[in-house]
Amino acid sequence: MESTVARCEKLKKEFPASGGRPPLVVFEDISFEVRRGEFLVLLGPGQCGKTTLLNIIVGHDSPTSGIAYENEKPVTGTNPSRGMVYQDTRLFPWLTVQKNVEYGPAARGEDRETYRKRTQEYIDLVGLTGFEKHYPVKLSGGMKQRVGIARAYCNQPNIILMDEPFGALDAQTRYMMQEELGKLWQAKHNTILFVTNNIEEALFLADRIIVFSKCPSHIKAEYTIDLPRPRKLTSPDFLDLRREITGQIDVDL
Amino acid sequence: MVLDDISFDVKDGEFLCIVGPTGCGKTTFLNSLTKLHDNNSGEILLDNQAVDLRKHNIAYIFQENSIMSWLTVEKNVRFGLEIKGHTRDADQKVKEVLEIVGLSKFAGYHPGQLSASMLQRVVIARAFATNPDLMLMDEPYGQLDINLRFKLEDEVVRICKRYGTTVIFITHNLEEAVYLGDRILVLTNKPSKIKEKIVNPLPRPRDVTSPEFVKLREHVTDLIKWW
Repeated sequence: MESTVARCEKLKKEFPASGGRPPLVVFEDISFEVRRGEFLVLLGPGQCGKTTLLNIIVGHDSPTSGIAYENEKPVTGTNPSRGMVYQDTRLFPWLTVQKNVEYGPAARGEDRETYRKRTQEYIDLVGLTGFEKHYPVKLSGGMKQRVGIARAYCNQPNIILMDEPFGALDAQTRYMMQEELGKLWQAKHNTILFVTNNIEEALFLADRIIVFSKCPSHIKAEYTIDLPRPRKLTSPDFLDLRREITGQIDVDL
Repeated sequence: MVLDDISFDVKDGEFLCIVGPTGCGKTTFLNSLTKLHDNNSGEILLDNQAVDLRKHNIAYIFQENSIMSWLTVEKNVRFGLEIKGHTRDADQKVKEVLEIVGLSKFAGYHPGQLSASMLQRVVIARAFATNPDLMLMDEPYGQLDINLRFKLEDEVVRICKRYGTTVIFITHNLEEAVYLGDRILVLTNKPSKIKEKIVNPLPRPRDVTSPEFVKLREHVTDLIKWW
């Protein structure tokens, strides 16, 4: 029996009426679980509330109704046991790569020698060896996102939430980062909950894909992806599945 | 040095895709074509004359959409015609292009009321309305999701073939290049040179899952992959 790391139970989010606009239900009746060690992707069109949902699970935001759990404890605020990787990276520009990556354990006063070793391990794993003393402003978009990923890993969370981490990268850098994240996940098997609106990206990375409808969102479909890894974007199985899932995604022309 | 010894020709009515590694100077190249940048050496000819924006009508669709947020959809499209001096048949032309991009119902809307893909289609309608001699498109669908992209790609091919527009289309997305291009120009890393000119023989509409398509896509990918 696989164990559950996080779970959502009938989550609903409604933004109150404002400026003469009626209240807006972003999503409702969202229930799913995240299993230990899996790479779970939430796939949905723009503005379907994916980021809001991650914010609720990580503890930045609270639902209108329903409960998010981590390790069977209701989420009531942020906790280092849940890490987040943001699309816009949110690195501290005044800290070096190394200081950004080790910010969490350092702020919590953990043993310096232990977290330094771990910091270096993750900097190496994301391919930033030699850039430890660089400031974020000197890094390319892809490299900044590597720092964000190393930072999340360095906290050793139970679950890492990733909110369209590669959304702002150009297509080729994005493919490269997908390959690297796939390798990192295969090496470490952390539990990852990854949000994207890119079907190809979802299929390339996921063990499981949950498809959201457009707003007001609900869960529309779920796919278990058992294509062998590393996956090939042009293999017939991959393209067939891509076509099948593409048909499930709401188009907002 | 960004670009070096880039020589090629585009045929009338051709859809030419340019691909290359990130940062290889693709946008700089389009900017040189329109004289937004001056090139250091070399010549750019349109119908065998040096490019002159007073004579030639070059339309440019940028990566970030260049909609004018304070004008309605209809006025955005009309603006393109007016600055080119086509005022007489403007009404009919605006109507026609909005219909082609499926936005007739939204003529009176302001940009803030539209989705990202709709905005990009308004910009495309504005560009096509002026019947450009040459249409430059710099990754217009870069930020759109796959199913939207497929729809807009089909639409742009349809419009180009209908008007016989000559297009230079830049993209990072190799599947898109193989899907759209009559020919594909592959650039190298900086200083960029032309690595290969590929004639795309696949009949339209193209099937992205067909073995021939996949083979061509993989070939282009191998030419570009730097990691």
